[in-house]
Amino acid sequence: MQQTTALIRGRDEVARGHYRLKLLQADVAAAARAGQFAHVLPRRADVYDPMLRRAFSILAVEGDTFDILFRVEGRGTAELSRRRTGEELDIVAPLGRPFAAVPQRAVLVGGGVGVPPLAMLAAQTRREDGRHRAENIEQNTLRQTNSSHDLIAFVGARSKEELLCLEMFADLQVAARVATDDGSAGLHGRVTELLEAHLAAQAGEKHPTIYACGPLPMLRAVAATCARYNAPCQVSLEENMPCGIGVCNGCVVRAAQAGNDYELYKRICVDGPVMWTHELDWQHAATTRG
Amino acid sequence: MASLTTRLGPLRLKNPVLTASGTFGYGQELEPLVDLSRLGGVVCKTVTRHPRAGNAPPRTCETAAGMLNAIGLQNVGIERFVDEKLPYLRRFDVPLIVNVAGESVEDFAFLTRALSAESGIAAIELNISCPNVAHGLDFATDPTLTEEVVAHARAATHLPIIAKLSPNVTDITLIARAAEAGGAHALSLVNTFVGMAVDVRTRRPRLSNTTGGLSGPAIKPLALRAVYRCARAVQIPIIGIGGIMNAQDALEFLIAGANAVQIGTATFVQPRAALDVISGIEDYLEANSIGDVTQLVGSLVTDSGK
Ligand SMILES: Cc1cc2nc3c(=O)[nH]c(=O)nc-3n(C[C@H](O)[C@H](O)[C@H](O)COP(=O)(O)OP(=O)(O)OC[C@H]3O[C@@H](n4cnc5c(N)ncnc54)[C@H](O)[C@@H]3O)c2cc1C
Ligand SMILES: Cc1cc2nc3c(=O)[nH]c(=O)nc-3n(C[C@H](O)[C@H](O)[C@H](O)COP(=O)(O)O)c2cc1C
Ligand code: FES
Repeated sequence: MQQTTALIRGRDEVARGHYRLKLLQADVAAAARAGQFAHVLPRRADVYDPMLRRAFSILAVEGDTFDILFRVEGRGTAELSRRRTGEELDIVAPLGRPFAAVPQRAVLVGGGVGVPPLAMLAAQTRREDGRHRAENIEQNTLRQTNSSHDLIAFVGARSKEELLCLEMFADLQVAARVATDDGSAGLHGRVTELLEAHLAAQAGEKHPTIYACGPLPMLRAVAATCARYNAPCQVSLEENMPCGIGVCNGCVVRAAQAGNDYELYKRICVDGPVMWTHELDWQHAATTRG
Repeated sequence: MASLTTRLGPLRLKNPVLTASGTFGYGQELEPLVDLSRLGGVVCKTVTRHPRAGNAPPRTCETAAGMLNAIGLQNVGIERFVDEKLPYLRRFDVPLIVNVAGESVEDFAFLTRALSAESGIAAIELNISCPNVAHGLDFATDPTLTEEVVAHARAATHLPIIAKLSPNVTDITLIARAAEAGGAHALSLVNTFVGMAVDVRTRRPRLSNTTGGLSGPAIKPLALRAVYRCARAVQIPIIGIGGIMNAQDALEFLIAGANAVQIGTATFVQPRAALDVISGIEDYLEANSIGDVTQLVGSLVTDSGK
């Protein structure tokens, strides 16, 4: 974790109101793990409104650069969308607890701008696959064929134009199925229905591990589904994050069991943003997001 | 090199810049980003007699050039503070000021006495002004209670006592005088201003607690006035707090009469904000050929002499 500046190397509007920034910062690119985020100052240093940093998941790393992908929501993201290639951003990164190591079989469930950390997780897992293959070839083992992770992605959005990262999943050979709220692509409905159908079809087999990120109502449904099928599940959470480094106690979510009062709330920025669903009290997991 | 050494009554600081309670955790989290030993002092998150879970989320929301918070004094309680947090904080060569809050005069005295038995604590800051818990405000809105709570804490310790006051009163100088009469060695001014924000889409308050404390640049002019007035009303040193984002802001407080400053919300945005303030003050002193930071304190120039 460090505070530093990152040069904007590239900027694309990947969908209407959605921007992808490529940022040059070698140390962050080298250290970042899927599920971690960057805390970005969306304004010039001497203007105090909007005041706080904004959190964005790390979408990809490549050489000395890393990418973020964001949707314009309010003033901070609007400000950020006006920054151009060649400008510098003040960042603190990488922050937060990343996703746990992916077992042989995994399902990625992403909604809206919750998809980026899952695309990063897919890429990271495929890089591991590549390393294992290389090692196997070196050691002349013949178990090469089945060593890749079995990954599948369910991607949801309001409409077809806002489906994110589908090309990345295709490049990584991760089968992706989509759901849209308006039915303009894939299932006319919710991404959690895809998950439900998938787990139902596998009843009896050992369940894959589920990794999910998206709006809170979606995560709540994912957590309930996974609990029903007894499938282990990690989610990445959001909450207003004044500091992002664990000093303000602002970004909390209620823990499942607290032996003590002082452990009732966990800080999403340092104890998360990735948490196991069984660590959380879903009845009280009412964050700002719904 | 100009001297930055500052005295707050019996407390000597190598420079006048401290971190504000509740914005610096227990130091640990910031170690990778900040050289703690360069700070004038560290004030840690409020400690209470018993552990506190804090308020339900959402606990914060951003407002124009500021933010509201209603954390609700989440903390591990005095016992675990002493066992788990203090040993870490003690390792640094920086004065540690422990901020405490209680629900009664006895609580404050108890906490002060308990902490006095520990080594490595430079002073106690009494948070009699937290807006986000029941009873928190009662003390600092009532001069009689303020004097009583400060006097009891003072009697319970050999350590310097700093009273942290609320700006949510009609005349803060009355409370400042009461704290001085109770024996406070210094005053911290100010805690947050109570405020609120509404989500018009849902018509709900943006904070689960409905109201919260406003901090950040939005409150700076108000905090500055409070410091200015109190500096004229009392003899004891004052620590200025409220919306200090950079050295310029800190200098305003010193000139208006603060002997030292605390950096709060700025640390969320710039983890190294307090260090930048220190070097900025140094630069200003050099540039203006001022040999000693204490010469600046209360050096406000006015025509009317008011
Ligand atoms: C760990 C983490 C990872 C995230 N990753 C992404 C991502 O990859 N892509 C993306 O588009 N968005 C992501 N978000 C959400 C993003 O941080 C918010 O959309 C953004 O802060 C909104 O700022 P604004 O000024 O445009 O909106 P406003 O509504 O004007 O913001 C007002 C205040 O609320 C806070 N806030 C508003 N919405 C959110 C939110 N959803 N989460 C946290 N704080 C919020 C802002 O930071 C700001 O302080 C992530 C959030 C977190 C916590
Ligand atoms: C998130 C947050 C938590 C705080 N917690 C405490 C606290 O526990 N005890 C206390 O005395 N003041 C607390 N404060 C108040 C600050 O110490 C400071 O007085 C106030 O924020 C004004 O300064 P600023 O504008 O520089 O932040 C808190 C402030 C914030 C923003
Ligand atoms: S954002 Fe401050 S503790 Fe998490």
